[in-house]
Amino acid sequence: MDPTTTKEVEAPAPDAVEHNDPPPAGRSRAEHGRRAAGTLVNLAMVLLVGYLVLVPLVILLYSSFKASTTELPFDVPGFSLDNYSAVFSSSRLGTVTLNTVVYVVGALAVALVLSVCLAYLFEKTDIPGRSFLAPLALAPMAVPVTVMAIAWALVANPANGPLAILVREALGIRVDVYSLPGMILVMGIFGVPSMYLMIAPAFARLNPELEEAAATVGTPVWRRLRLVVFPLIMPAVSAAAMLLVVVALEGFAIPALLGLPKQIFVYSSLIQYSLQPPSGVANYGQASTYGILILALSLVMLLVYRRRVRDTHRFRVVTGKGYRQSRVPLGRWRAPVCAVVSVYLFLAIVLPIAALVWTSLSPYARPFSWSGLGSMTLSAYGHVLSSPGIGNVLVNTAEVVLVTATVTLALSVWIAVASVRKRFRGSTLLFETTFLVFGIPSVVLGSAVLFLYLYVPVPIYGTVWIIVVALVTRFLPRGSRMVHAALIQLDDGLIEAARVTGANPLTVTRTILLPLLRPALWKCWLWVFAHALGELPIALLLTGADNRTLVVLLWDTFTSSVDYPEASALAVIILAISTLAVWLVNRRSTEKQA
Amino acid sequence: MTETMVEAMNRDTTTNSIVITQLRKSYEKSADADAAYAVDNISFDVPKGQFVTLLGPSGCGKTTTLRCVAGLEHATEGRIEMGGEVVFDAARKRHVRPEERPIAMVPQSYGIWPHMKVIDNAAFPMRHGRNRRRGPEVRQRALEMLEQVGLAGMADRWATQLSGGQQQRLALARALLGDPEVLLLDEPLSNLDAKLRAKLRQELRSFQEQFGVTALYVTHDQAEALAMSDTVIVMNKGRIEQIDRPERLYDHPRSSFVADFIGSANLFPVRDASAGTRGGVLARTDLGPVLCSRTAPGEEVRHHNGGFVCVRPEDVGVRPADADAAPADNEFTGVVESAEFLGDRLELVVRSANLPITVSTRAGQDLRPGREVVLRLSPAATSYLAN
Repeated sequence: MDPTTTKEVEAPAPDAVEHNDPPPAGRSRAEHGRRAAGTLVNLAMVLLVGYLVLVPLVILLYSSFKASTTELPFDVPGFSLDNYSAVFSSSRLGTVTLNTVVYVVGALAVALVLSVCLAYLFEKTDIPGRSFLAPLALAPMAVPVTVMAIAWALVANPANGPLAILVREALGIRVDVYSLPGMILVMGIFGVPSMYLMIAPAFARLNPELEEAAATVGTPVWRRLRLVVFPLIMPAVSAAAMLLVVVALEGFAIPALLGLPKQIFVYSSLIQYSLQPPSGVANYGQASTYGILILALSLVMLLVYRRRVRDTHRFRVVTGKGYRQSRVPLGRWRAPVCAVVSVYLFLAIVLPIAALVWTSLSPYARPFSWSGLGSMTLSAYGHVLSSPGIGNVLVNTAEVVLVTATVTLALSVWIAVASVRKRFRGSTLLFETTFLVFGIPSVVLGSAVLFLYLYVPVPIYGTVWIIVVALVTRFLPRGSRMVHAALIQLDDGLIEAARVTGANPLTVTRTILLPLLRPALWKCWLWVFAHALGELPIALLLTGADNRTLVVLLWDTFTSSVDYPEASALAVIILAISTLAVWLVNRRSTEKQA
Repeated sequence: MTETMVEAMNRDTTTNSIVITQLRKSYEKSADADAAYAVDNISFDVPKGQFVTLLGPSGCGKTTTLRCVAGLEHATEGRIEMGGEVVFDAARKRHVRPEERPIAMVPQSYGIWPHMKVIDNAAFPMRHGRNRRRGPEVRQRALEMLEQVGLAGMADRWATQLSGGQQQRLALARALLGDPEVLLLDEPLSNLDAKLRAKLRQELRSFQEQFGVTALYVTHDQAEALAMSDTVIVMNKGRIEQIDRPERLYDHPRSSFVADFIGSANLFPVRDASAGTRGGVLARTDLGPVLCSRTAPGEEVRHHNGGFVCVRPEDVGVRPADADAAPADNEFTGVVESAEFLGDRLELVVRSANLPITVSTRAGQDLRPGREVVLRLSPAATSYLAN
């Protein structure tokens, strides 16, 4: 053995003075200090997350047991089941429940059929123009649901919607987007991209050899589909379906914008209506009770979803080296299928956005026409951007989305890292707890936060911070899951290799963990950014004179002042910002792959 | 004070880099009496500068042991000393974290950071590790080391552009640049193809000798273990079966598990055993009585009823049976069941008394399936294994 190298190991190298480890006694004291600080930080974070997540739930439950129609729940003494009996005995429950069921199931059917077809066509067949059509199918991801609903109201309203006019003239059918079928269709189309994103990988992972193995033993094609293909994609499909049910159940913008004009209520819009009725007298108790009902339904769905997602691991189709992509030739159906898909994508995505842009550039709401081109004007934009208070609105919006995205990301990283690395006892439980928020409809979450800060003497009511608090709570589960998913895909060896060199945990986090996670962190940040921008119900419930944001302004302009060009201009502005965010996400992820 | 005295009484800590005493590891939350142990009460030393291998089938606890040494896992019971310092003691609740142990590790997947250049991977221990340095010499030393492992021209490439073998070398370079006292290697060759593996295992060993670093190596590949190690520790089901030099391990396995795991062996269950008249053990098996007189030097064979007779296929003599000469002592008749010609030798399976016996003999003999043969188990090449 070489004596010089051992010497180097035992005695600190002379030139390493600055950063040498302190002597053992000092080391242990420093270590104690560091541990204590770490524990303190962890404790603070647990309290913060627990506060953000659990308090709204408790408030909601609490106020549902407060018999009150007009007063705030904290002002009512005693508990009672009055709200529940009122809700269950009301004649409205039946119709609203029926509406909700029809709406949710209908939207699910639409989204399911469309997304499975698209996923199959784009992933498994030789349909032409894939590289253009597939991203287009995902484009609505960048469109906030509020903007989407307004776009559809413009394109398919019976008075002057271009699509409605087209269908009426071509087929003689009266189309009205302000109806239950209209809501179903819009929600279904809106749900396609997120479902597609969950289902397409299942199709992509479907190694053709699995099917070929069945084919070689003489199994006919339908049996192959039934026995091999369906079982393998079923977990992904049903997980996506459960998630869509939850989103449809709690989604507010579509039922509110398309259903309220004709008084078609579902649970989520009814809650908002009870809290901010035109009469001006809020019914907090009833709102809470409906909130509990949706929460219960959502939680059931989410539990099923979790089981399904767990199953997908079992069904994980290993793609070995022998994987090759083989596509089913469509043969002579190639052109017609492509045409149908293109028409769908045009009607579902291009047309509404075009109508939005068209209206924003028109002096008044009018259908597409060549003659209209001459009278295009930017006055709607000018009006929006020069209106009094717009500066405030923009600053508020920027504050809300930037702070929400950053704080959510920071908390998400901490929760996910603590959970994956088992930093302290109960860290996994904490991570799981955030899952509960998934089930809270944003209307309900908004009202719970509203009750809380009307009562608790923290002076954030009426400021942007109350919106930030609610939005951070809302996006925490998704954010922490995004980071978590990226974390568990990291090879432990990468972290361990750094730890054993003697680098301290902070250095490892800074130099190894965070850089490796960077793409996922960006994705998470921009996702929250885009969603915070378009999140309507929370902003709407918590809005006051001083904390109006763009999306609230959009809502007011569209529903109260009924100035369609101005509303469209606002919608286009929101759309542009969120498209930019989504485009950045995609550019980053493709850069990473390159 | 008492601690050092006990240590001195037990084992010499000045010449050992690692001393493990009665280490146990259970993955169950509460370690009750019938808990399953991934590592069950093992003790061994790794002398300074030596290459010691933990060998065993998957699930035998070898990787868990290595991770306990690294501090990446907490053992349930026992004690680990490294370089004369107690780094883990369950009884005293002492656990020195990995970053404060004098180690370096080459993980199974290499742990090469994909977001860094090759040189940054290599220089990480010097920049952020235990023995931090500054200035131009960091890069200089990293480059020298990269050159030594044959990655000279690759320094400014992204780490992901390296092939498997190059990544393995980079992982080794990075580990050595941390100036470790103990190098821990967790199956570092298992992800490579066979030819590269043979080449790299020689390189690995020569680096280890060149840098005089103590190595603790984990593998399930017995050829790797025999070829590289000063000492091999054979593990099975969380326990140590045998600790020996590679040659002794092969020639004098101490248990049927070791005999079977290292190379191939014929093992015949023993019904009862007694001392032979002129030394050795006379073991009664289904074949008949077998005299076993192979023992390791200085080893005393204790026998009991049970155990196994062990003989390597190449130590079994075989000749065609002839009608007049009856089999002598330690000779048994049998019928060739299968014969495989392997170029340099002939591998036979002979059935005798309903036991299959594998025989490896020189090629060119007319021993087809169905032939009656006489097998000779030379007592000097036949050992009795008590378990």
